Amino acid sequence: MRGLFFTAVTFLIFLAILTYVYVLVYDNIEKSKTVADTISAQRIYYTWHDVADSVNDLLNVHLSKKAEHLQINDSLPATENIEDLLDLYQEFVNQIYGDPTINIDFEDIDGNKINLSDMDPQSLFTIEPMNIVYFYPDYGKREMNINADPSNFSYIDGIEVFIKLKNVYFNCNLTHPSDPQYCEKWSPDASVSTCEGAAFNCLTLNLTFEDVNSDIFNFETHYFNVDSKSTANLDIKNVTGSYFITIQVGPLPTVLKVDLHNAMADSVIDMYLNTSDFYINLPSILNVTTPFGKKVDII
Amino acid sequence: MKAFVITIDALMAITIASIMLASILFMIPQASTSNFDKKQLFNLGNDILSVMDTSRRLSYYVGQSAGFVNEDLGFYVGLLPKTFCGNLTVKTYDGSIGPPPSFNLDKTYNNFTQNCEKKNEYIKVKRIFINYENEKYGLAEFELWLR
Repeated sequence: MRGLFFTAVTFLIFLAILTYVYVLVYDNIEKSKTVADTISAQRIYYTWHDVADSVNDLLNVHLSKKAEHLQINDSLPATENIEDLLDLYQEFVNQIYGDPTINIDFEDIDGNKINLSDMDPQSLFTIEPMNIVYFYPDYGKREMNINADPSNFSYIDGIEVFIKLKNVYFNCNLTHPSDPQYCEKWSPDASVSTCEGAAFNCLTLNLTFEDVNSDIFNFETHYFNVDSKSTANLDIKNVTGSYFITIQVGPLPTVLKVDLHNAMADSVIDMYLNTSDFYINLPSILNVTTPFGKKVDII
Repeated sequence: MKAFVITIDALMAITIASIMLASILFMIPQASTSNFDKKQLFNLGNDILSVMDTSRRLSYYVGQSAGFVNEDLGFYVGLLPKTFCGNLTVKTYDGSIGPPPSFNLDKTYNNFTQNCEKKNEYIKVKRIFINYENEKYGLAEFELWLR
């Protein structure tokens, strides 16, 4: 009888220890699973942003948002073949960066796989949800445009443009407005004295150029009726000859168009919107998938 | 007959006790291992690479001397806590559109925690970067493990 008692007690002690250890192991496995899920999700997140962020570098454009202010730093024209760079980047992601445990695809809006160079340069950098677009006619980047539908134009409070010309001089009078050779000549001219209380779509624009000699010219006209077209030619020259930069303001959907005609420039565009509730999209979807999850979003 | 029963009883007791002991000994290490350290390594590695990328440090390395870059990588490896070890490698590539598109390794830069042998269990995080002016594609890889 005593033997049976000792056996039962020993068995119960072992059983208790075993149960306790099992509970510990089960709890630990659950925690580890949670951590593994978190790591997996973070891996997808980091990979998505890593691949998406580098696309802007390929276009040599940097956008930064701070509250209602969007700054676009650009370099024009393109000094490299951007389509080749985009295709090579996609190949680099697949060959060098990716691995068998993660799938990285660029897709169109319908979910079809695309080449990154198929992105339409005319719909690059869309400010959503107001659908204001900063774009180029092609990847040569000789011309930059800002477009907005008339129904969305009111989101724009104002635009400041600073263009640093890198290989040309001003070929006009910077100081005397009465001089026929004065740098600022609008024709057609839909500028107005103020946007205050305007019954039309009115743009507040501050336009400044700096040439290779560090001479600075600030356009005196700051308010434009963008229901109509205004155009100015800024005369410039380099060692090979003289030509001009074309600046067009309006009519909507054209807000601003600057055709550099191959002059090399770094531009800083500060766009002030009346809301901080906006984001910037590129016309491609990036799909990062692992066996444990995925992130599919517009770049 | 009594001796036989006692022997069988003892054998069963020993067997059951052995199974229970083995189960406990097998489970105890599992109860003490955790992925939390891996998460710490993963987060820290990614944070350091993110800082290097967003500050354009990675892109800046293109065209710099190997001595300078390796020393600078050492600074970032040195940011790791004393209980962590790391091996930070930056590779740059030249791309050729082909066809087929291909990549040739251009430069490799590296630095690592001194006096800390790499373990079998380690975390590897990666960051891709571009240098537009020099048309270089780059990959930064950071391996991290516990000391």
